[in-house]
Amino acid sequence: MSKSYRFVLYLFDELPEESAAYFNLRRLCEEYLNGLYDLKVVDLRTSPELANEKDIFATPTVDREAPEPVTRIVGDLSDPETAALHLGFKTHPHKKGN
Amino acid sequence: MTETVHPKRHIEKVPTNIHGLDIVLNGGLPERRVALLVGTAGSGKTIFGCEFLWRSITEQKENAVFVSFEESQERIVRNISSFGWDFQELVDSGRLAFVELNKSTLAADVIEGEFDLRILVERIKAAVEQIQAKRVFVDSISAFFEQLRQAPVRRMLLDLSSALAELGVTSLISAERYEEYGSLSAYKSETFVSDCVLILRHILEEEKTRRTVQVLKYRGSGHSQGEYPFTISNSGVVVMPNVGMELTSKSSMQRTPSGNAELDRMCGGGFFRDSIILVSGPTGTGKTLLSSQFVHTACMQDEKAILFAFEESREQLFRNGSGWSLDLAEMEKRGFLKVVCNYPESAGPEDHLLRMKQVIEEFQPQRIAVDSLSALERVISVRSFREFVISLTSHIKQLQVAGFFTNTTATLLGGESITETHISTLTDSILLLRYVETGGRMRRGMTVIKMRGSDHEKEIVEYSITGKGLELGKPFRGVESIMTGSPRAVTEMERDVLRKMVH
Repeated sequence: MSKSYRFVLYLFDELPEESAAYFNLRRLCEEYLNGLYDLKVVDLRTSPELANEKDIFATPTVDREAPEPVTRIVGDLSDPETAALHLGFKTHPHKKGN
Repeated sequence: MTETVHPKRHIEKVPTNIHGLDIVLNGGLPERRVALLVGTAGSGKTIFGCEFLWRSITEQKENAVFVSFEESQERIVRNISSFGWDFQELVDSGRLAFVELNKSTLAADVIEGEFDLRILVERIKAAVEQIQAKRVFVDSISAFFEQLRQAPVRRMLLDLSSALAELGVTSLISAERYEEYGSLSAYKSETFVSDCVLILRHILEEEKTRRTVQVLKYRGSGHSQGEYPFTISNSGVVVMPNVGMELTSKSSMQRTPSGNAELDRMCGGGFFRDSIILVSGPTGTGKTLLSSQFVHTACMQDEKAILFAFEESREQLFRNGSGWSLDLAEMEKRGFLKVVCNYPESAGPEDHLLRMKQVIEEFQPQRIAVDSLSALERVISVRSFREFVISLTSHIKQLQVAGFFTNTTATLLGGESITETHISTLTDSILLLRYVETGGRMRRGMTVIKMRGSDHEKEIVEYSITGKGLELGKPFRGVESIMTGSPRAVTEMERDVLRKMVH
């Protein structure tokens, strides 16, 4: 795998294009990762078994599956600063990491 | 979608089948609605919920879903097996389903921005539909909300409640609170959302644990007020509702002998066969003798009796008995008597009560003696003691058998004890035993101060304790204030004056 960042975005009964979380995540990835990432979108409406398996209780939920440790964020990532911090794009506020 | 709210809308109820709880709830939990179970850590929320599910499935044949935000299915199944509830079997046979929201091993769960809980509802719904469940227990909502921190808890709980209501299930949701009294739970809004709110408390009172359940509110239904003690026995929760029992107890006019012909005469012909008799007096006045005689007499008429002893050992009781020509050991051998000795300190009042009820249930006696109640009073708080006595007396009354309690007063001469003031209103007959000091001698005096539904002797009769038991003599004459503890001789003239005042 050349792309070190891998995300799964879980939605419920929603198209990616309608999702604020999808829009915000894409924008952050473009800004910090220069497009070098994998993003998979799952609609739990059509694959409900994944909700149990992955223990998802709210949508949208973003799992950063790589790099380790796996990190989960619940919500639409509406604040880019904190979202970038939690996604591991920044290690410290006001300082770009990676 | 609007629902017409009618003030006299009839609430359908679902019995929990938890021992005693449905009496407090006036029938059970509101059907197809959400009830909230609030309590501190260790107050018994999970056990209440598990028993609710267990009894629904096994006794009412209604399937159930357990939504766990805390412990894993494996742990719950294991913990609850000590009550004899085989949840694994229920899962295997498709009668119980778990929705676990606790497997998350992710390093850091972060909430960032807007989200909704439809997927959570969807997961519960899928489980409910899969096994056609009618009951849901959610344990606990606080563990969940803790993860969500700044989230709008009230709105989410509303969403969850209405989703559960739409599923047509009767649900119980537990919520943690951090103090026993004061603010109800971590999220005040929870109570507004639910139709029924139960509070479990677990408090340390004078070094003894006390568990209570209270119905804080019940929309559209009456319910019992106040806190009701409960205990967690090895077969589940046992709530002790004091109400509702007294009402069903009938009273009979049938008399039953006390074992002492003279005493029977003083009582107007013996005790009533379904009454509670309290004998109160200082140490050495013959209370144990009277209780031994009381159970012995039952056995003599081929009736069964239980003697609960909190002060003396079985050997001591048997030895004492033989000193008064009462062969208790023989009675026990013949199966008419059961002597149960317990240290008051060995258990809390709820556990004592539960054990006593179990023994009574098994043995089915016509008479029950407790010697002494005050031994129990010594080790528990005043409030717990009062509840214990109320529960015990109402249980005995319900069984329509005779109960005989003794009470040891603290002072040798006269005086009343806390016990007396607490239980005198609950008893049908009260017998006072007192030391009387007159002319430099200690004598013993007995009087009947209450005999509900019957006339009785009002005099204070002198008695002595001999090898044949208790022997009554003549009434005290020329002495007054015996019962208050300061007897004094009365002159003829004074007596005349008094007589004139009375008549």
